[in-house]
Amino acid sequence: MISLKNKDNKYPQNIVAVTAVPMKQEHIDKLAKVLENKLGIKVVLINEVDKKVIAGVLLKSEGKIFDGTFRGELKSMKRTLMDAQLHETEV
Amino acid sequence: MLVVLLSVLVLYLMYRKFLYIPVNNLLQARKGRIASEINGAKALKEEAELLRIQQEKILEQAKIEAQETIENAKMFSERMKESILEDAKKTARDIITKASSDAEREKRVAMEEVKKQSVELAVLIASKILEENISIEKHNMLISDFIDEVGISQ
Repeated sequence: MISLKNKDNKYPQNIVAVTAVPMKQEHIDKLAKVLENKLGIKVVLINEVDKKVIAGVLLKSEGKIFDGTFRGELKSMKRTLMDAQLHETEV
Repeated sequence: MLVVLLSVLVLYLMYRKFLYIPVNNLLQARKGRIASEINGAKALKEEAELLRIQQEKILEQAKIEAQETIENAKMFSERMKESILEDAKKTARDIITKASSDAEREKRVAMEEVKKQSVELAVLIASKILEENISIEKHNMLISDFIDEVGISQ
């Protein structure tokens, strides 16, 4: 999952972290450091606020997305429900 | 005496020659003709009888054939009637089947629609509720958890 964000060159990678409420600076710094460790390159982390994600964090960079938000959960739940077959029940 | 006998003899002979024999011959001839005419008539009668019998046979045969033809026509029309009836029944069954399968399909489509809208609604309600009910502290905790998990994962 996280490896989807990898780029192979040495330039700093811009990553946007989308949250429902503004992130604390300490969280921004910690996340940037963690990502740098994971990806092996310099990371510039930008926080974007979007109420629509409801809660949690969504990471996007270079057109790829890693969704750790409630909205992402609901999306996947919706997909599961849509695929489920409707059965007739006795009423 | 002798003269009488002689005359009688001569008369007899003349009678025989000029009367008896010719007349007899005539009668015989006539008898013969009559006999042969009777035979002829008998033969004709027999022939007529034969022809009559033949004619009867032919008539019998014609009656039988006519009967057969009628029977055949009846059977044919009976079969025709059954076949038409079968076709009509089959068409009716097909119509009913198609109608019920159309109804089935429509029902399924409607149910699918209901399901989709229910899911949409449920998810929408869930997201609305969640949006309003998460405190800042909870948000920060979730963000912090996320960061930790990123650190731990693969």
